[in-house]
This record gives sequence, structure tokens and C-alpha cells, in this order.
Amino acid sequence: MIRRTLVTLALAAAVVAASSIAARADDTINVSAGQKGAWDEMVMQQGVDAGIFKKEHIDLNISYTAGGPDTIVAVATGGADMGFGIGTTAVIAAFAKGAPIKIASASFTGASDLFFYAKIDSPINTYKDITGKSIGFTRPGSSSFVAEHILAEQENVQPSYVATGEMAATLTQVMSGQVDVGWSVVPVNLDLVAKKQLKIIGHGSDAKALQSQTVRVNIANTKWLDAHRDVAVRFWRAYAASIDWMYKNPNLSLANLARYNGITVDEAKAVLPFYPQKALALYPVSSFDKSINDAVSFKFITAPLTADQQKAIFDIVFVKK
Amino acid sequence: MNDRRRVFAIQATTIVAVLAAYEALARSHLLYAGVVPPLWDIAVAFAGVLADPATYTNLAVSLAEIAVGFVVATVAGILVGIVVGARPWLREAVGPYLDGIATAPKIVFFPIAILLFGVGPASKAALGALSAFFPVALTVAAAVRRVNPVFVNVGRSFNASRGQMIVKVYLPALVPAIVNGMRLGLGLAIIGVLLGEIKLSDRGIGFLTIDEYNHFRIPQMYATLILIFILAVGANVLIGRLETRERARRAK
Amino acid sequence: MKWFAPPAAIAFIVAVALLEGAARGGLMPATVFPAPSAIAAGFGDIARNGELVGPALITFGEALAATLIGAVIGIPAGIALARSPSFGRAYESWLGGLFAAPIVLLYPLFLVVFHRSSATIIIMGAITAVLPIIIQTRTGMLLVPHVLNAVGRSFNATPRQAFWLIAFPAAVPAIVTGIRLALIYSLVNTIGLEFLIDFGGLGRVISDLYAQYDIPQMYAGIVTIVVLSLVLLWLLDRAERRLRPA
Repeated sequence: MIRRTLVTLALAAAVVAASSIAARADDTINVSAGQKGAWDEMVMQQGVDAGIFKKEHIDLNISYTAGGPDTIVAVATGGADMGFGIGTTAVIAAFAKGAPIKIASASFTGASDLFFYAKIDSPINTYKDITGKSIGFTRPGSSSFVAEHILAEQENVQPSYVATGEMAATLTQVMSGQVDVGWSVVPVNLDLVAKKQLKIIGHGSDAKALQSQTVRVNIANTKWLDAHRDVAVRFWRAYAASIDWMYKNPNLSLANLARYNGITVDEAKAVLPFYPQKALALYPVSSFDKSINDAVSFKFITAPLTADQQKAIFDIVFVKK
Repeated sequence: MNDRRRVFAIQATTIVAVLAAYEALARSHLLYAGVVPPLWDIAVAFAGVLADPATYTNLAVSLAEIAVGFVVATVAGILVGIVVGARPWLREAVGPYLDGIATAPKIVFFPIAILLFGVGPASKAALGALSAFFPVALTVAAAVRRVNPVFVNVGRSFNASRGQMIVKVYLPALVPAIVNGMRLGLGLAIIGVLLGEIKLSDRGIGFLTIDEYNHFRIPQMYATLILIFILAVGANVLIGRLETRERARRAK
Repeated sequence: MKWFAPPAAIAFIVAVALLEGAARGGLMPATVFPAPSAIAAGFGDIARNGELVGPALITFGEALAATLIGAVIGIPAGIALARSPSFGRAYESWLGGLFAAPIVLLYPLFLVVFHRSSATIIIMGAITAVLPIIIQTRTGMLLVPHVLNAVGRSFNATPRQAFWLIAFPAAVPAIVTGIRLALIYSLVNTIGLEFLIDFGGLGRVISDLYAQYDIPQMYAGIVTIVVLSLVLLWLLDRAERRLRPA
């Protein structure tokens, strides 16, 4: 009699324990970001380190790609459920060509993370001095390209444009004198500025027309989003909370950033002024029509998105109050 | 052996000359100093790379991708090689396409690998497999045609089933070709996997190299490349020695 | 090999029909593998956008330049190594090792020194090309039949005559093989590099199409590369057969 009761109690306890574990099981999301180490690309890692995603019962598999197009492919093929920090024009182009993706939120608005530099002994001191000089960019349609053209128009200068590639190649060409002005995204090359080998001659934030344009967005795989809307809401709630946490706890978040990049905390602190919190706002996706025009003029797509497409491309499940 | 001494002297002198020329270039300021670090910096960076646990975790990922790709390629290559080599009509039907794809640089199939296998290690293993498959398949196919007909007839006269024919007659006769194909394939598998990592990955020794490039840690990049080269050439030398030993053993 | 033999053509038609059926039946997501009809349309697109002929010429030009440099450096080097047994033996294993080494992985080094330019592509292609040429030249010269040397001696040929009239011509077939290998390897390397650094001809086109998510066009480009490789192999085959003494 006693044994039967004990066994029943044990079974009951086991069931209760099992069901509570089942209820607590975290949802796993595969996420993919580009430019590992950049402040705005590390939001999820910061959130994981701060335990914010755990509180929403979400487990993240974070992977990093070499850039926007690769992240798009990862999400379009289902290799990742969501992708982060992708150029808006690239997303527009992929959507127009049938990629099963939706824009889930804004990622980065403006170009404040960009800066332009010259050798310390260069006669160039500000962007106004670059008429007739050469300036490097990654490729047509890139954020460096767009920012440089907007700034040139704004400051009424006529530089010559050279496709120098990514930051490392650009730096080499500037240092060897083949190109007069280079571009960089913090924190890369800030150390050379501190060492007085380079000087900053302009900021992306100087390009006024660009300040209100959401240049990077976050996307989700259409099928995944349709099947996991509740998980997505919890995810974005945690993501928004992570951004808040990063700015409310700079000592901790900058120490994390230093660790992610293998730089000192002081070098990490130099990065923060380049990222005003409003640049990371998840909503709204601003100046979207301008991004569509960019996509057309850079030949990513042959015709602008139709009105239906412009509505269908968005699927924003969570807007922070 | 005066000869061997002479050879060694030439090799040693060449190495010293190359290193001296590089050091001269590094100090000449002909090129931006950041991209040609002095030998000492590279040596220090190399020690750092060897001491860093991240090097070994990344190396393990690459080795796993190479191993999986290589094994898949070898098995598939042997099977396809035997099947295609044994049937003339199949050879004529499929041969040109095998040759064409074999000649194309496998890295251009990279987007297909990503589309089919995702962005993780599987796509890199797939690229390695694709790269290593062709040397094995083509060498085996060519060798199948040269299998001594006497052995084939003996097998047939024993009413051997197809499976038995493959295992007891064809495979033993094909071992040299298989090993030769594997040797070519291993080098290509290494290149395929590492290039795939450089193009799109967030782990692996190839990724480590491009990561150092992106962060402009140039001495570390040189050091990692040297490490990759030592391992790749070492692997080739090892298999070469195995092949020689195998040949000597069979000659007895 | 009969390139347009019925079996090969039949295989092609069968494969295309199967893939088209699979695509239309919804078995393959268009993202991963578009229907052959879409790929065929992609050909039209890239041809119209000038992404076919021009880039192909650039790619072949770079590979040819690399092979030429490889030959200009490699043939004399191979001859020198053949004539000096100690140097030849000293570098023999190194050359073999370098041949198998993943040279293309050094491209970040070349990028920082030569930047994203034709120089990087051609120089790296030249390194790939010079190795088989040196190896084949030396091997060819060393394998000159003793009979020919004996004949030369019996005619009291001077060393220079012996070299230019006997040894070198006898080594030409091997040298031609070396150049053929060099052309193929440098072409492979060139396309691969173009894809990696997003610069140059066909490889860059594939990379751009991938970046713009033009998937059917990208496949069309890949097929083009495979077809061009086939054509090149066939041409080299014909050329070698004609150059070889009967």
C-alpha cells in the first residue's frame, strides 16, 4: 500500500517536472549577421551575454557572413531564419527577384558609422578639399559609394572615384599613395587615427540627405515567419531590450565590444559616439522610396517595386511602444 | 656524398637568399610598411598563432570539412569511375561533361553549394567533395579500361556476381589508380574547402585568414598562411610517401 | 573524344528534360536550382548586358598573359635546371611540393600588395603557370634519348649545336605539354580569383550575379564557364595533335 503510494507520488512528481521542463524549453532561432564585430551587428551577442534572450526563452544560433548578399542567401535558403544588417537596396533587389524574405525591422539608419580619412601629411583636411583628388569605395551601390556621392553633391566637390574594395585594401592604397582618401567603418582604422598616421577628414553623419535613410534592414525567411509569429514577437522584444541594455550599460557593453573585436576598452569607447541610439531604431524603415530609387539607379533592379510589392515586402511583427 | 652536400648547400642558400630579399623589401619602404612586415614580426605572430587556442578550434573545423569532403569524394569517385569506365557508351555520354566540370574552377559552384547545403560547414565539405571527386573518378575510369582482361575473364568464368567482380577483380587492380587519384584529390579538396571558408564562413582556418585580413592584422595573416602551407604541403608529402611505399610493397 | 557524339547529346537532352520536369513539378525551389528554361533565359540576359563576350575575353586575356609570362620565365629556368644536375635535384622536390600547394590561398597577400587589379590576377596566374612549365621543360630535356646525343657526338657537334639542334627540339613535346597544363591551370586560377576578389572577367560576373540575387543568370554564367573550358580543352587537344611529330 505504502509502496504503491510512493510510486504514484514519484510518477506524479516526474510528470510535473517533465511538463515544467517542456514548458520551459527554449525556442531555437538560427540567425545570421554580417560584419562581425561592428556595434550594430553584435546586438544579439550582447543580448545573449546579458541573458535577455534567455528570459524570453529563446536560444540563438548566431553565425556571421562576409556581407549582405551572403546573409540574404542564407535566409532565402532557410539556412538562417533571420538575417541582420543587410543593405536595403540588396534586400529590395532580392525580394523583387523572388527571394522568400520579408523585412522584419530597420537595422541602421543614417551613415554615422562611416568616416573618411587621409594620410596624416596629406594636404586634404576636410571633405571640401577633395576636388580633383581620388576617393575609394567598395563597389557601386555600397554605402560608401552612396555616402560619398551625397557628400560630394552637398559640399560641391568633384573627386574621382576609385573602386578600392574593402577596408584593408583601401587602407593599403591610401598609405601607398595610390588613392588620396579612404573610407572606413568603426572601429577599423581608428587605431591608426589615434597613432596619428591617419586623420579623419569627414564623417558619414555629415551627409545630411543620408541621415534619415534606413540603409540597412533586418529580414526573416517568409515560411519561418509565418510558422513562428509568436516566437518572432518574443525575439524582437528581446532584441529591442538588448539595444536598450547596450546603451544603458555602456561599461558592460563596451567591455563586451572590446572582447568581440580583440581591442582595448578605450578603443571600444572611441566607437560609441559613432552610434547614436536613434540610428539603431528598429522602426520605422525610413526613406524607403529613396532606397527603391537607389536600387534602380545602381541597376540592382530594372524597375521600381510595384505598390503591391512595396506593401508585401514588409512583415513587421513587433513595434516597441 | 659530395652530391648530397651540394644539393643541401644550394637549398639552404636559396632559403637564406629569399628571406634576405624579403627583409630587404620590408625595410626598403618601397611598399607600405603595413603590408610587408619584417621577418621578426612574422615570427612573433607565428608563435602567437601557434599559442592561440582559436587556431586549433578553427583548424579542427577545417580538418573535419576536408575529411568529410574527401571521403565522400573518394567513395563517389571510385563508384562513378568504375561504372563509367566499364561502359563505353556511358563514357561517351557522360565523359565530356565530367571533363568540362573538372576543368572549371570549383569555387564558381560555391553559390550552388550554399544554396543546397546552407551556410554552415556542410557547404564547405561539399565544395571539397566536388573538387576531389574528379581526379579520383577520372583516374579510376581511365584505369578501368586498362584492367587486365585475363582477370576479368577469370572472374566471369567463375560466374562471379557484379558485386564480387567489383570487390575481387576490379578494386584490387585499381588500387594504384585510386591512390594516385586520391593524392591529386586531397590537394584539391584542401583548396576547395579553404576557399569556401574564405568566401563565406565564420569558422575554419581559411576564415581565420580572411578575418585577419579584414582586421588588417597582417603579420598574423602571413603567419596563418604559412601554417596552412606547411600543413598542406606536409599532407601531400605524406601521401606521396605512402604511395611510394605502397608501390614498393606491391613490386615485391 | 567525339564531342558531339550522339550519346553525349542524348545525355544532355535527358538531363535537361528531367530537370525541367522537376522544376515545374515544384520539386526544386527556384531559389536553389531554377528550371533549365529559366537558365536559358538567363543566358539572354547576361549576353544582352554585355556580361558574356567582353568578360570572357578579359578572362582569357589574363590567363594567356599569365601563361606567356610563365613560359618566358619557365622555359629558360627549366633548361638551366636540366643542365645543372645539382640545382635540378636541389629544387626538384620543392617544385613538386609547390605544384601541389594551395597557392591560390595566398591571394590576400597579393591583394594588399597589388590591390584589386589585373596585376594580382596575372601575377598569381603566372606563378601557377610557371611551375608545370619548369617541371615539364626540365623533364623533357633530361629524357632526350641517348641515341640522339650519341648521334650528335658522332658528328662532332659543338655544345651549342648539340643543345639547339638535338636536345631542345627533342624536349619540345614535353614543353608543349607543360604549356598546355599551364594554360589550363592559369585559366582555372584566373576565374577562381576573379570570383574571389570580384574583379576582372567571367569570375567577377558570377560573383556580381550572386550578390545581386540573379540566380538563373548566375547559373547561366556557370554553364558558360564549363562550356568554355570544354572548348578550350578541345582546341588544345587539336593543337597538340597537330604540333606533335607524326
